[in-house]
Parts: sequence; C-alpha cells; structure tokens
Amino acid sequence: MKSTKYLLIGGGLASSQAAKQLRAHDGRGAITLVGEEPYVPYDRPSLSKEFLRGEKRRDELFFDPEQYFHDQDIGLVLGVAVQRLNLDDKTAILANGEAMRFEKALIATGGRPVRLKLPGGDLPGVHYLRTLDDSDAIATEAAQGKRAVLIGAGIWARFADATLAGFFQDYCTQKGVTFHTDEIATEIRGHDRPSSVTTRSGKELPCDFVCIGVGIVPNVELAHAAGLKVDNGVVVNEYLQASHPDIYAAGDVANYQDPVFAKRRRVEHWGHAEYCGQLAGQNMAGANNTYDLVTYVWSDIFDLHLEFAGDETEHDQVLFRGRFENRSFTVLYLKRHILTAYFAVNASSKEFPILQHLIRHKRDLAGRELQFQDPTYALKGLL
Amino acid sequence: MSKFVKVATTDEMANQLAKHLAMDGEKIALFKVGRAFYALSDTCTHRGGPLSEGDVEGTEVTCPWHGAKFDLRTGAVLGPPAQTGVKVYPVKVTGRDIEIEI
Repeated sequence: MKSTKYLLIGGGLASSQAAKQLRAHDGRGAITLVGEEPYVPYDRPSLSKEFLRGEKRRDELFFDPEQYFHDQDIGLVLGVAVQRLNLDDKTAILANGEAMRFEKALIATGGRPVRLKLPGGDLPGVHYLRTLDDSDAIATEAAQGKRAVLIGAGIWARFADATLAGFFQDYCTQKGVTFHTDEIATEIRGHDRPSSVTTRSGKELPCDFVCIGVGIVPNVELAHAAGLKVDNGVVVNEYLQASHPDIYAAGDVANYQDPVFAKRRRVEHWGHAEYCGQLAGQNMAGANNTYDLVTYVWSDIFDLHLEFAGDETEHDQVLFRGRFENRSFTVLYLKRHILTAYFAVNASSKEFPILQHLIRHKRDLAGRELQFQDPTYALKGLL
Repeated sequence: MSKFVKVATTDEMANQLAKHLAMDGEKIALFKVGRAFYALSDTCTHRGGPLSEGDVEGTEVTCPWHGAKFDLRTGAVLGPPAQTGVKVYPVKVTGRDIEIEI
C-alpha cells in the first residue's frame, strides 16, 4: 500500500497553498495532492474574466507549473478522486482502486454548481462554470453575434440591496445585457441544442446557448461518509481541524468559526481559500495558528472593479459614500453602529485598510453617519 | 534597450509620498521616503492592487486591497498574501528631475 505523511484532497487553491506551507515547515515529510481534475491547481476567477475574454493564456492560469511539484517533491495524483476515507486506519481509497495510508489529511474538495432541474437542462449548449473545461466550452460557444441567456443574478443578488442592484442593472443594460427580473426559467427549448428559454411569466427568450450560475453546494460527501461532523460544510475548529484531530478542511467546503463575527460561516471566496490552505498547512505541520481574517472578495464587471470585505448578512443600516453617477462609491453595512461590511465599486483603495480596521476592531460609529456619507471626509479621522 | 526616463520632478513630489505612473503599458509606483525615491511595479502580485495607494511605513508598502507587504528597496515580499515580489526600477535624481530606468 502506498503511504504519505500529508494527504491533500482536492486540486484547487487551498490544497496548493497547503502544499507550499507544508513544504516550508516540513522539508522532508511526504506530501501527496490528489485532484479530480486532470490539471495542477489553477486560478478559477480568471475563468469568467481574463481567460474567457482571451486576455490570459492557458499556461498563465496555473499557480505553478508541474515541474514545481517535482522540484518540491510534492506527489501529484491528478484526474483521480478520493472515493472513501477510512479514519480508523487513516487510509484513503482512490477512484482508481489504489489505497493510500496517511498521517494527516486536508479535505479541500470545494463545491460544485447547483444544477437546475428543468426541461432541456441537460441539452448540449447548456453550461455551468466551475472548471477550466467549463470555461473552454463556453469560450467555444461565445462568438460574435451569438445570443446567450444567463440564468442567475450573480454577485449582486447576494451582496446588494435594491438601490445597488438597480445600479448594476442599469450599467449592464448599457453594455447590452437585457434583464428579466422577478422571473424563473421554466424550460430550455430546442432539439439538439438550446434555441430559447421560457420563463414563468410566459416570455420566450431566443438564444444560441445558455449559462447557468445559481450557486454551489459544498462537496461534503466524502467527509460525511467517513463519519466526520458535517453541517453546511465540514465542521472545523479555529485551527481548521475537523471532528477527527488528524483531518483538516479548508476553502469552500469548510464550516469554520469566524472570530471577527463570532459565528460559524462557510465562505466561498478566493482569499478565504488561499488563507485557509496556508493555515491548514501550517497546523498540519505542527503549528497552532488560529483563523484570523476579515474575509474579502473582489470581482470585475465590465470595467467596474468591485472590492468587498466583511459579512453583509449582518446589518441593520446601509450607508452610501460617493455617488452612483460617478461610478465610484462604497456601500457601508452597519449593525448596531458597528461596520460589518463594505462593498466598493471603483472606489479609492486608500480607504480599504481603514474600513477593514473598523470592521475588525468593531469601532462604535454612532453619530458618524454623516461623515461616512461625505466623500470629502478623510476616514482616517474615525480610527 | 533600457534607458532612464524623466517621470517627475522633486518639486512635484515635495508634497506627496507616492505617485502612479503610466508608462508604455507598464504601471509604476513612485515613492518618496525621506529624501530617497523608489520605483516599483504598481500592480500587486497577489490580485493586482495599486501599491501607489498603499500605506508606507519606513521602506515597507502595504497593498490597500488585501494587505500584502513589499520592500520598496528590493520589491521583495515582506508579508502575505502575496508570494512573489514586484519588479523594481532603478531611480536617479538629476538636479530636480526624477528619472527611472525602464
């Protein structure tokens, strides 16, 4: 039977970061990364942006070339999923039938797109976006003059209040996107390819292909079957340790205790996966570091750059700093006069560290609302 | 062939500590620390944040987006989440002209 000291399950950002930290803190221990996709870890955000637009080459997506893993003596098993974990004898059974004994394992299996169940939903030409292969498939479809129907409202459905949603809708409308809100797609019509999407209210939207983005579900099945505690993700403590002390979880799949907001969260952001991977790697190699990150995320929508940090679900007040007309503003979320999150659109980067500080240290901002809303007021005065 | 190009004057930098320079498609950040000037790439190697808008302490700049720290003198990473350094450009001051080699 093969064996490894550290087994990294999942071939994404978190595993990639864990591998680096493990090697930095344990120069000799055997590390094996097992990934279901046939690629070394790569950067997913680009799949819907620079790579899809043809501005980034394929080889630029990979965090490190395959040679790096050989040089660092990190074993790669790619194109193979872990099928089963036996915690009693700490053995993993791979989909190719091999068994691998390990001392410590990281579950970084990420998530998979929620698949819509509707007639026509399985037609060729109906796409989800998660992997490099998905992005390749969409790039092949998207050509000049092709019509796409996108199902799912994207980032603003989650972060935005009605005013902000209106801003994005107007902006995207100017760029040639037609919105059908308060709608549900009921059917994808077409013989061997999509030709239209019908909606609840009876609209029929002609199209050449369809992309669906309605969220992900965490890949917890492996952990669950192994008997680990699972509750909206693999439940981990502040060290990212699962209910078995030699098993860790990181990234989209982890349900962790957030010290900033003092509650359990499962976060599907790149920066969180990067951070978790590093933390888990350090702790698997013997450190006792605890999670301490103000979670953040960014995105690009046409030429708008979005920066978000905190937890927008915790708020009883929303303030605007800057003006929609200038396409440069920050939305501030507060709860009981404490800043819990910000959502910045083409805003001055200089303010982000101050806002993150206010979130982390829970400054009481009662009576400071007018200053927040005045873009000429230097936020440093609030520190 | 690289050459020194004038990018600013010392008068211009009298009241500012950092300046963003757009040079032939390259984004460069010019910093002033005391009497010294440093030039480095204005694109953070983590996720592309503008270092010219970051806080500077001594000769260390912190990216305003996600907190990566770099050494202004060498471009080396001093703190996560960035893992690779940024490019630095030699700077020389001739009279009042600040020139960088690109």
